[in-house]
Amino acid sequence: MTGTQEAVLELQGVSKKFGRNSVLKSVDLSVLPTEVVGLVGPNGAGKTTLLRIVVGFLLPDGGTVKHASPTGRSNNDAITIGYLPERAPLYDASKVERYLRFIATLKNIPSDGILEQVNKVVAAFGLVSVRHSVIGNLSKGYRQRLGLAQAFLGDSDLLVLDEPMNGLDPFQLVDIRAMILEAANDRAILFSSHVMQEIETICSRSVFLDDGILVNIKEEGLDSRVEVLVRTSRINVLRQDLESAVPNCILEEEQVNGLDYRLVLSLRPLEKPQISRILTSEGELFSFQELDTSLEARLRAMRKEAR
Amino acid sequence: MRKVLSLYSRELEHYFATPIGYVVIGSFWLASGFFFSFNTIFVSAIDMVSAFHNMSILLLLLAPLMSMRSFPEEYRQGTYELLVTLQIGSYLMVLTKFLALLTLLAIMLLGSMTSVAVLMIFSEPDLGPILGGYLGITLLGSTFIAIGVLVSVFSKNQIVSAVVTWIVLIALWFADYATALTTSKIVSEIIFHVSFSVAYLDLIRGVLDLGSVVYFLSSIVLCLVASSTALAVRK
Repeated sequence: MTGTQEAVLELQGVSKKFGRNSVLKSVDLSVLPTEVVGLVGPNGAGKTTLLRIVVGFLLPDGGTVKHASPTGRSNNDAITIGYLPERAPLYDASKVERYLRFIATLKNIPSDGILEQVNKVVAAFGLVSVRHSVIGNLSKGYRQRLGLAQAFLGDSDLLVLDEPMNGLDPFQLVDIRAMILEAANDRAILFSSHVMQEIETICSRSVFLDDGILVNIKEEGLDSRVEVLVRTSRINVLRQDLESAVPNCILEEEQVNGLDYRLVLSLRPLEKPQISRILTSEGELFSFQELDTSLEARLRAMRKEAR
Repeated sequence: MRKVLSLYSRELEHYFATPIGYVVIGSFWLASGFFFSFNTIFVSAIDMVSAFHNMSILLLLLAPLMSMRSFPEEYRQGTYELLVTLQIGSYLMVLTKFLALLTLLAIMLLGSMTSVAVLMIFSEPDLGPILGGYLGITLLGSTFIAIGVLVSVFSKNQIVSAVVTWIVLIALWFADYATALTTSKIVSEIIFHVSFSVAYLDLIRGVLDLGSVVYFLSSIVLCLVASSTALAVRK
């Protein structure tokens, strides 16, 4: 379905050394428009370095990085990237709204569109109550949300998020997850996480980076069983939506208690973002876990094989 | 242009959203006012030469405190990474930081002009040398700041950045003393040209020597170009 589209991002044989320490060894990666790619890997595997190369903060020692704008989105050939670094890049002395306006200007958003864009992300990331606060006084959760807000400002073609779920509480996680899925409708997202469940919930595809080598984890088109815990007051609508998106996807359905349901779905990797979107729009999604082959188990097996 | 303005105002915002700007400006006004009154009351000076001398020393102490945070803070907050990703050129970052510091310097010097007003009320000072002196002290202060910005590019720590700037400034200030160590005419000639004190003495007396002006202007340009080149190479 996305096979003929041109990749928004294409890395070929990218390598990077810091001194004698080889952090990335010939990494190939391409990201299609509207694709959500999760980057998994242990600490020190080079995830941050890879993302920094993608956004152009670091230059690779070898290989090429190609960006291409999906046609009709941007008038120049350079694509726009929204980026959340490992630590939210904030000016402590500034105030929330001023900061967002500042970033909006640097992103070339026209003056008359800035307020609208700022209002949009302020509302989306629950920053209304701190809109006029000094950034230095914000809690870690708010800082992370503000970091995400600046990345989402403007209609970037590609969002690069380094550990976006860092420092968020479980309630915010539900919101942010929904937000990422919504954004994924019309743009590509590349994000790293060490929380496997996040990767499984959101991503249409995930890649595993270990010791500077990148491995594609999921074979496209392979069915897998997913267990979902969801709270909804409209289970019939939800069931109908799921069945119309992916026919015969519901294998089991069980009412755990009250409005909480446990569903077992049969999905292909590329169908997951769509399904998660339906689940988050019709209710609250508490858990989304693969049954047959959990990502963690597969990663452990892959590491063992590589050693 | 919008980007330049917004980078510049964000930079200025920092100095006035935190106590730094007020402390630096306030202490400069206080100390320069004190030295001025001391000179006019006890020495009965009716010119500004010794006032300019004192201002130079004050700037030598304060400029590193003003410039020390320029890049270390961007590195620490991770905002430098963001700016690079938003394709803000390194020359633009260096220039807007320098301009914001220059604004701070201008406020400091404009405030000190109350001294000139006092002189004009109670005597008839020769305004030519005073204006020339102000031009000179502006050039000297700008050079201090430019050196401070350059040093800050290489440091992740504000304190280190300030201390190294002091060392560089003091070394350049007293460089002419080093001529005592050499008998070579050429070497001492070179040292004389690098030293601040030789070039600045003319300027604060209000003698607008073209050589001195060129010396300070070229130092500023050199430091700013070196800063943005160093940033660009860092990738």
